[in-house]
Amino acid sequence: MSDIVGKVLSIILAFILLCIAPLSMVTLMEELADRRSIMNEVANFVDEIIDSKSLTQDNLADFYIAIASYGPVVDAKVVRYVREINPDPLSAGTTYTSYVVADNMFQWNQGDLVKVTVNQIGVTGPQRFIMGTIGLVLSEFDYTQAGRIR
Amino acid sequence: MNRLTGMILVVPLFFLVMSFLLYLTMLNDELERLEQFRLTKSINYAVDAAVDEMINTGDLGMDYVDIKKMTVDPRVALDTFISVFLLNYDLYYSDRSIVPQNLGTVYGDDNKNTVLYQYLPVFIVAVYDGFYVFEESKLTTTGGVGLLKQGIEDGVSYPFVATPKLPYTYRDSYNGDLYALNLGLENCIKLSNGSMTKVDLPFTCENGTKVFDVTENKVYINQRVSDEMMYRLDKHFEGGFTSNFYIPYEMTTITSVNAIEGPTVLALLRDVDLTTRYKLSSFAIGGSEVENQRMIAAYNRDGKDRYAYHDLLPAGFTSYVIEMFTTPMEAAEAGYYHDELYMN
Repeated sequence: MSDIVGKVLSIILAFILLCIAPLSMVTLMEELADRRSIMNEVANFVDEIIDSKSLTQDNLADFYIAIASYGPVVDAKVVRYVREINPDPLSAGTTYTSYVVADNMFQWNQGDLVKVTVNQIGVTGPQRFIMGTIGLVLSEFDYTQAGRIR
Repeated sequence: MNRLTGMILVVPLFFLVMSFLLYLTMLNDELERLEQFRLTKSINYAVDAAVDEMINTGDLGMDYVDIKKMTVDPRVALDTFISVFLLNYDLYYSDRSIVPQNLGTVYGDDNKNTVLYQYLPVFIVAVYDGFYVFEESKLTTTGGVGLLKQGIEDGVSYPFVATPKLPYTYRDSYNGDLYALNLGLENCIKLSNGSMTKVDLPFTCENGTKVFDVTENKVYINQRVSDEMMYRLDKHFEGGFTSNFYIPYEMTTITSVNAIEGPTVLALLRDVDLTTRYKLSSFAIGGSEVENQRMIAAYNRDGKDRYAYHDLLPAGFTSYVIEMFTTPMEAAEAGYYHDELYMN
């Protein structure tokens, strides 16, 4: 029992290197893979809307289930921008285009824009783990995708 | 702690530090890849929207004489591209150059001009018989109000403007004849000794040694656009552009890039750092295909309303046609029956 400090330090280091390091590595990768999966789901959903020119409650429910099936708890918001073309009051004969947010998002016209925003609520397990173990702050997940109805 | 343990402990400490560094690089790489994914998706949606908006706006002036010929407004494509791209980053299309002219100098520091001047070095709209290139061009104005880039002295502005329509040209290296190609892939205009003639594809050129067919036409159109894009990029970047651009004339498994075959929008975004500290670049090409519509003619034959494809009807039958449809479904919905005599 001559070198008690060295033994304790070795045990702590061995624990960190053999347990915490691989575990936090794996959780970090999992977290980022989940983010990518959610991004893909959003892209699919936007594609679905802009190609089919329609959105139903069922589509929406499917989308919510799809993004909820990964790690982070996320909130999704679908916004429909209606295209408005009006005569320009400043110069006669010309028009200007503006996009106005519409309440009814189950009926789409060609030229409308759809914007799907997904943002994370709270902190995920991996985020907290990485924060606690290696002190790395992983920013919250926030993703937006927009497209034009064909 | 004796000296030996201390020396040995340096090794795991080294591993610990290295694993932290590994984390950070991995995290950086992965976050950069996610941002690249976002940028690629955004630019693709924006280019698709630009093409679609351009095609669906106004009168395209199409007819059956010149296949695929249409007139479009490239400005619409640029505006749509920017608005959809901005929305992908949760930003809104703001254009302060819309303010009345008498309010003084307008500086381009809104969202639209940020994209134009910082991220979009070149934007190409390729149409039937030529293409437009949008880029910053130096413009010296005297006392006028222009769209000025920040930090530039008064009187000199760098508006993001389109060139006149540049034709797809091919020069015969033997006798210097100039051919203006088009995307219709049926004919082209030949300029020889000051006279213009219409030449049908395929034709022979280069003193009869070369047959210029549809494939050659596609090759030269795509090459012309890639060369022009390369030239503009080279001019735009100080010290030249180090990468190389090449648009293939046909989509293959190797290139996996669509060729220019119809009205097309090409956009290159570089150094985009809207949501990240990495400077990301992406390129997208979006196109549309124009097809001939095979019209359905509806008529009354032997006391019954029937329909058939217009081109299948015998000569002289046209005067009996009551109305025209674009699809058999529409004809059937209007109460016409499939005419087995002419359709089969």
